[in-house]
Amino acid sequence: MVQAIQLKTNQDYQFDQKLKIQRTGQFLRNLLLYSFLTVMAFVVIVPFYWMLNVSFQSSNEVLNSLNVSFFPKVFSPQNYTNVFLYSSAAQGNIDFSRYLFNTVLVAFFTTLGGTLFSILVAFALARLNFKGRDFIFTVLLATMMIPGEMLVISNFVTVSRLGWVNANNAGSYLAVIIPFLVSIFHIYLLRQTFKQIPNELYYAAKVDGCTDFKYLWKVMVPMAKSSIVTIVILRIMGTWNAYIWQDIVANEKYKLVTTWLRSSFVDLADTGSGRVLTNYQMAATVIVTVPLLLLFIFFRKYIMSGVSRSGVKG
Amino acid sequence: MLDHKRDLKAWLYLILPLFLLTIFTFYPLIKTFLISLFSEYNALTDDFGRYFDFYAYTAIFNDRFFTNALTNTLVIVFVSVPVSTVLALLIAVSLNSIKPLQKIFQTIFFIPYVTNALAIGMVFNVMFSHPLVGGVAAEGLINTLFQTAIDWVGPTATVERWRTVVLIYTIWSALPFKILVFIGGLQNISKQYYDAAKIDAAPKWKVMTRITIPLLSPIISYILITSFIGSFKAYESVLSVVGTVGRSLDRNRWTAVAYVYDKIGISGLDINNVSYYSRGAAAAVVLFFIIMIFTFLNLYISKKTVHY
Amino acid sequence: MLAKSFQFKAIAFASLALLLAACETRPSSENPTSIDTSTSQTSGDSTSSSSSSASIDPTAPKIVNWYNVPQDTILDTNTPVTINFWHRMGASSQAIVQKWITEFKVLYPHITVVEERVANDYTAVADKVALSITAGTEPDIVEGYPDSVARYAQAKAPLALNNFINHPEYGLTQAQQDDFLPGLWAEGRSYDNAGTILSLPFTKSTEGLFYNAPYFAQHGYEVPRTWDELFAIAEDIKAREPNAIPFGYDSEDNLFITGAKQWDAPYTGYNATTGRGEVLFNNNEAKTMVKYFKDKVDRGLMITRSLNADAYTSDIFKTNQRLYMYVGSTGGTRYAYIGASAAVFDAGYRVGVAPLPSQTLERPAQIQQGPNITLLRKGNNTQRMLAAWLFAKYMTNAEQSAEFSIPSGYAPIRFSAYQTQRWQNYEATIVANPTTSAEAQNKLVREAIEMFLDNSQNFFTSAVFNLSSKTRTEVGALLVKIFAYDYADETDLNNYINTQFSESYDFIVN
Repeated sequence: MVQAIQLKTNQDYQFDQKLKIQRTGQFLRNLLLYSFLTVMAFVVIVPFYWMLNVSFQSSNEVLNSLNVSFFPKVFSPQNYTNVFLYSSAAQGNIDFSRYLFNTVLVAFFTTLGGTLFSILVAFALARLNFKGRDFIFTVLLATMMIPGEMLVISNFVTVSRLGWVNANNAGSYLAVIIPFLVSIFHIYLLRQTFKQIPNELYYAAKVDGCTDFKYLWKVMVPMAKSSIVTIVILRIMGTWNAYIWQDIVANEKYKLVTTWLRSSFVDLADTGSGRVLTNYQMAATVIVTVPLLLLFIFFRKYIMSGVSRSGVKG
Repeated sequence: MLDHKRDLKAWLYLILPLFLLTIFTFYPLIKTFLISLFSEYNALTDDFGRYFDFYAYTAIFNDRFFTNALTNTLVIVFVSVPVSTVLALLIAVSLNSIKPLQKIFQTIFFIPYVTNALAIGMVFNVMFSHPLVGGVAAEGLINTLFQTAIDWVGPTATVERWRTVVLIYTIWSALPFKILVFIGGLQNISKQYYDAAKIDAAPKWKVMTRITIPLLSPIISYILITSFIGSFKAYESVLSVVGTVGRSLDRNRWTAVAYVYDKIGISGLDINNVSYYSRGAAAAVVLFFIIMIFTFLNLYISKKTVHY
Repeated sequence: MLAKSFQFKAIAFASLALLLAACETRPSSENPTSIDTSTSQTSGDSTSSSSSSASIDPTAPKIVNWYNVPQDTILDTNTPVTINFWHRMGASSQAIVQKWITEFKVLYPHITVVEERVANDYTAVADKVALSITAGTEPDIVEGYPDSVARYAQAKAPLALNNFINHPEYGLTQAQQDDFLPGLWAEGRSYDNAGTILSLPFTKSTEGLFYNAPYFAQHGYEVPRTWDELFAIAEDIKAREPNAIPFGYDSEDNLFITGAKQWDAPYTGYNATTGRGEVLFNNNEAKTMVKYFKDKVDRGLMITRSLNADAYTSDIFKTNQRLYMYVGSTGGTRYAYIGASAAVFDAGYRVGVAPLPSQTLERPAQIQQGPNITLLRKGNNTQRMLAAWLFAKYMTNAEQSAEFSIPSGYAPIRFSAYQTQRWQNYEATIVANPTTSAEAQNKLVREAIEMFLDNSQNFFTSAVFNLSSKTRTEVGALLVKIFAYDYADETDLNNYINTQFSESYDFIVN
């Protein structure tokens, strides 16, 4: 009886030990994880902090200060309101809300159209078996391998022939949206995700008499939600950061928010070598970044919750 | 007969996107190829000139700034892509395995992506700045933090120094997107696999290498291939970090794309009567083929290692 | 998939093979049939109009054909015409141009001028114009620099103004032509040897020496006229204040180019045989000039913008300490005061302006900068080009030139601008002893413009061709590298200078 108890406590003891080791292991692992993430997060966030730092500095400090400071000498939150007044004086009659409107409009349509195209093409490349599929895929990949500047002259002439360059109407929007509507970058991502959806689902649907098109929208798209949301975010970011092409083709009134960021905060005097008021520029950048951050926080739920691939047994 | 109908249906999905691509990408692409073969091409008049030859290619292969640019590019490609991919994978997996503070960390890691590139470039410039003449302006952030007076990105910076800064910047800015995509991919992995592993009491690293990575392999392959292609075209990032004010990049720091942009920005002919624009086009074509070869290699490896 | 990759590799190898077979450069004896770059000019020095008119060779090839405007052409006032003017002006200058457009419309009701700021810097404007030329949608009038005009000339796009200027009814009389500052008028003719005029001067500046007037008075310094005099003063200041860096020169490009001119070192030019522009700065005189200034930088007497972590040297100047002289553009004259703290101003900080010092008094030279107006050819549409010409003429009238420069600090381009009522009124507002920053700025601007006028015969221009802007950027970078170089001894420095010069040269012409 005593022996049995002793054996039991031995087992208990060994079990406790194992648990302890596991727990310490777990603890150490978590420690490592959190330290790693904290260090990386810190590295990642330093430039953003610097942006905030400069955005609160006074113009005098930005233009005339000979030192770099970690914190604004004269804390100037009025930059955030002055930014709007300043830019409208510099740009003539076009103010921030116009640029914002343009950007939102372009972002909406390029996201809508671009995502739609990505879904259709990725579906064809991933699911459908047709002659020339691999060839098309290779050719599409090839379009990623050429630097953008080489396309400018040719596309400018094309867009000009369509009458969209510097158009004082929706043509400016079209000039910015249409040429880059199809992105193999996004198509490729979606194709990979689509390919991960098991064939069995497809065959099962076919047996039930489901058309390809229905299958795409009823089954595949919901299952690839995380990738589609990623693409939507990428599109929005793309429009938010777009500068060169829209600067060349769009009419002044139809330009996007990056134009506001880059050209509105040059010192008003006309000396050809205007000094950039970086504090206003940074404040403007923060103003433009915050809604995007909020957008991400909103979308985060959708990205992080992939749909589990239940429905296939075994 | 059924095959034919099926093919036609498939093409229906592709017709409109392909049409747009043809006009706005294929056509300029082919035109670039052609221009590289006409060494008297005039960009302003869109006139191909009288000569069909390879002199544009001879010119760039004789140009040591081109070969130098290729070297710079290769360094960026082969260091930044593997490092940023591995780092992003580790971060994504870590993010996935913690519960508290997960949302905060996710948001933090996403911040660089939403921050405008202009701001980031400026910040890095300030961080690594260094006055060439002492006693006037102050040292940048990094020099102040580490109490050094090194020229990181200025005219007297050594190759190792500015390459390091470029790599840091490239890796840093590549992280958010990769993390985002990896997290999305990780979410797609059915919990069933992890549950099964738990039952088998598999150690964490084994879970990582036997379950996570293989199931993530389509996404990893996508990231690797697109990152390679993207980093071969690196230019803006290098310009914003190690370029001088006035937005020009020292010729020894050129990447292949910097070479292309420089050449297509000069009008007229060079000393050998070869059009600068043709030379730029030739460099773009050479870059294209290099990227293509690497991509095929990558795709070939993927075919062997990726599980769908 | 593998088959595809093999196909592509095969193509790649085939191309390489062809390449190796064709591995020589195209014989450079083949000259293109059309002149694609500027043709020869006899000498690099075009300091005054009288000497450069003597060097015009009417039989020399023209960069673009001179559009013929028949003597009996009448302006058709019944057919409405719209012309486009592209520029990069800021809001305040743009407002002035809009005012001119309204005034012009009253004079010529059938002509509508549409002005547009297409970019924020001249390079971007040139890029857009170039694109529009390819697309066939180019404007009628463009504001820009000679480098970009040489670029447009690749497509024969700029309009030669000679026959417009000499037109009996709508042109400029000889008196009017002479009214333009000769140093500026010459630039419009510097594109080839045949005297083709491709631009009118629009708004100009030069570099001036800005100095701390009370400081100079306090220590009995005379305004220096040569570099030696200037650095003697700098040494004196340095001895008194070891922490000072007495002299600043912002633009390294300008320093090199002006220095080359003053040291009589070739910089760029037109080749006598081929007529094409060529790069010539890799020579001993230029190196001597560079070493002269390097010595001053090393001794802490001088600083440039790049060495100052890209901050303007006038930023230090404005603190009334450490830096007491700087060379800057007269277009930025107001910045000598703008940004200076009120305390500094009230303590008596005042600025004087003087001509740029030279290497020797016999050979003064200072650069002239500022955009020109160029007209672009519109096929054979004489009426349209005539309308554009009339507006360009209007913008360069004495009255308008004075109106444009008063707020900015750029100088009027015509002698008679200084006689206009507007200018007289402006002069009357100048206060001899300014008590506010605005008054001080106005006074300094007037002095800078006076200096501009008095020294316009010392202006020079450089050859304009497809590599000229690249050369300009490169020599600036070259100077910075040499200034920043830490050398062990004289031989080390000389070797470094030699290698850097030849590397820069190889790079540009390659």
